[in-house]
Amino acid sequence: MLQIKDLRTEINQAVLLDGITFDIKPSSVTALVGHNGAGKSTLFKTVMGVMAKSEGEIWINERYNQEDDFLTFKQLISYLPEEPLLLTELTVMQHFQLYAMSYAVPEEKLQNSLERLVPGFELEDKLNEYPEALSKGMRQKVQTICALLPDTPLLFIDEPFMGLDIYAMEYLEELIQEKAKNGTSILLTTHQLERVKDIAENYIMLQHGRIQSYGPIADFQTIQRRSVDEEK
Amino acid sequence: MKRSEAHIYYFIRKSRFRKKKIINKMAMEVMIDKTTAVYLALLGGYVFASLFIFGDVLDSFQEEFLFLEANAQKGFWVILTALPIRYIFKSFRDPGILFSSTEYQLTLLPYSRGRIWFYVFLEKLVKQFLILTLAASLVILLTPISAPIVVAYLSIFLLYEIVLTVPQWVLFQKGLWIKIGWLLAVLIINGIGILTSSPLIGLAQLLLIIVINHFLLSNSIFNQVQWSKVTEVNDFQIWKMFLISAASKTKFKRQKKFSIFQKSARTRKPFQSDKAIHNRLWRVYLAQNAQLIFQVIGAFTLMLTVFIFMNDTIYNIGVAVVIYAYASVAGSFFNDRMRADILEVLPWNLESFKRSYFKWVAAGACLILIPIIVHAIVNFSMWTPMKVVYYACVFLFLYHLNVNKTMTLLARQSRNFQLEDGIGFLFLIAVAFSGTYPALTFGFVIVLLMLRKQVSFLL
Repeated sequence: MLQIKDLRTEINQAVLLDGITFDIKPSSVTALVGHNGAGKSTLFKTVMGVMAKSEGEIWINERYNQEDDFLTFKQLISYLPEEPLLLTELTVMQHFQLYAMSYAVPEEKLQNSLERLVPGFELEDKLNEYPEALSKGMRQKVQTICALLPDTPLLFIDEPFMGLDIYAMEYLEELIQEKAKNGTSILLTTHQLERVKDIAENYIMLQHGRIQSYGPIADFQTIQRRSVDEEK
Repeated sequence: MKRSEAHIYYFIRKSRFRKKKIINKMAMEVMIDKTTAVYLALLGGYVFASLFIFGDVLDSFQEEFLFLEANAQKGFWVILTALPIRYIFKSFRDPGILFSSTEYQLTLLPYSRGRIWFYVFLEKLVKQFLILTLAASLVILLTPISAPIVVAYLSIFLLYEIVLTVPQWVLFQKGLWIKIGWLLAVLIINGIGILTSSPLIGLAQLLLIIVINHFLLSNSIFNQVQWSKVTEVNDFQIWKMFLISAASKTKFKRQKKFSIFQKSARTRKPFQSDKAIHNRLWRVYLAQNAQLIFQVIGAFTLMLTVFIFMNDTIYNIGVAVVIYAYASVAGSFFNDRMRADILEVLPWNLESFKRSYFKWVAAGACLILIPIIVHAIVNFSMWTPMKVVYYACVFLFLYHLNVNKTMTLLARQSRNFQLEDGIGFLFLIAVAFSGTYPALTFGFVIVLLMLRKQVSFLL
């Protein structure tokens, strides 16, 4: 599904990612783990083309290369950021419409999805509210629904459980598993390792912008403390 | 033991100053080594000494200074009436009191919000007093302008700083139309002042401001304050550091969570079409960049207005420059829109965005058209309509070309636009010479043919 080969990202000569190579299988959930500053969000942004890569190749479905057809490539990835990127001038419903338009989600499909997701995240009475009128958790729920609306082959989730209450976390866990079952490959970062062990099949451990280890989630031990890593 | 507000405010300011000093020092070390810094300081000192101490640079401007003094005397009452306009303009984007998120957090602790606010105000006045006094002293010492005039100006600036800080703060919290309303009111007062040439108008306005301050505003400083907006603007003001920007080669960007546009019941309704979504996205973006847009369009309009009074060749060169620059700016804004906020991570239908963008570009062009129309009316000839049509066609061609190039760049496609760029340049040369050789404007037929291809451009 997603193939990354020798990926390298730099900003002002500082290397943020180096030698990143991995494959993600279709209909799978992969946990991207690592301490703060390991390069998890940078990896997402580089794959999405928000940050420019300096070397390497990124393919989706062995057909779409980030370089060759960037506009189509963008259509294949849905992204749930750690901090909601909601626009203060758009209501909750208008955000859903924006996502639906951007990913060409048909109106009927949009309505069906919203009929299910909006009550699921308990946002029925917030549809005409602006983001600043919502709590942080609610904004995160809105952003989560936005990312779940399109049926893209690839879904990136940065800290999916951040700011969500326990019910919303369980509901999201259920939705992630359902998405994967329906063919979407999911790459997610989280610090809640116990929770992710239940939903992910594989893990990729990043450290200082490089892959330290990867494999089945059952083999995953733990993340060492950043200070311990640096002392070594 | 709880410290006083003055003490804690002093502590915060000292810490902020220290932090900025450390950051600036780091930036300086990155940019300039010690040896270069010493040489630069010596060079600066030498230039200053040779220009102002040993040289007679200022003496050569003697006549200009006397002219300035005479006009300053005459224009004092105009300044008295006009100065509030500056504060109203500033209230569109700046609360006038540097109350940042740090000060706001202090008020969440057991400290008086009013007193903290007052200390920020006091600090602002002291700073202004020092800056203006220094500037006034230099003017008195280095120029022949008489001291009483300089002191009178210093006093009026300081007085308005005192009496208009609260109105600016209160107005900042209000909606766009209230701000525009006050701006119009003060402009009308100024108009009356200019027509009657009476100093009484300025004095009456000043008196009115003092009365409004005392009876209406002094008790409502903290009513309906948009603290997030105030702190967002001020945080940006405080931490927008030129040296850091230069050293790190990054641009400071305001968070810009707030727009100048009001949210009405109508804007809350779900969108009825994709076109409405595009329109809103453009509106959001352009509102966030309103200041820059007004500056750019204002500069172009002003430039053309000045060129109207010059000879025809210069005016036509000015038109060519403005067409080129406005089309380029339109392309840059298109690029920036796609890389801003939520849109950066969403898929782009660039052709649709281009279609919805044109309306806004055309709205901006209307303002630039004013001096062109004035020039056309004043210098009307049988060629005038042809010229206007030709200018419009060239602008449309260059606008579409620039946006198409931007779209190609965004889509990471490699296409060659060198030929079109060259043709566009030739069209601009024809604009520049259209005053001397008006027959060149017949070229609009060729422009139209070329334009068709750019309008129907697909990625």
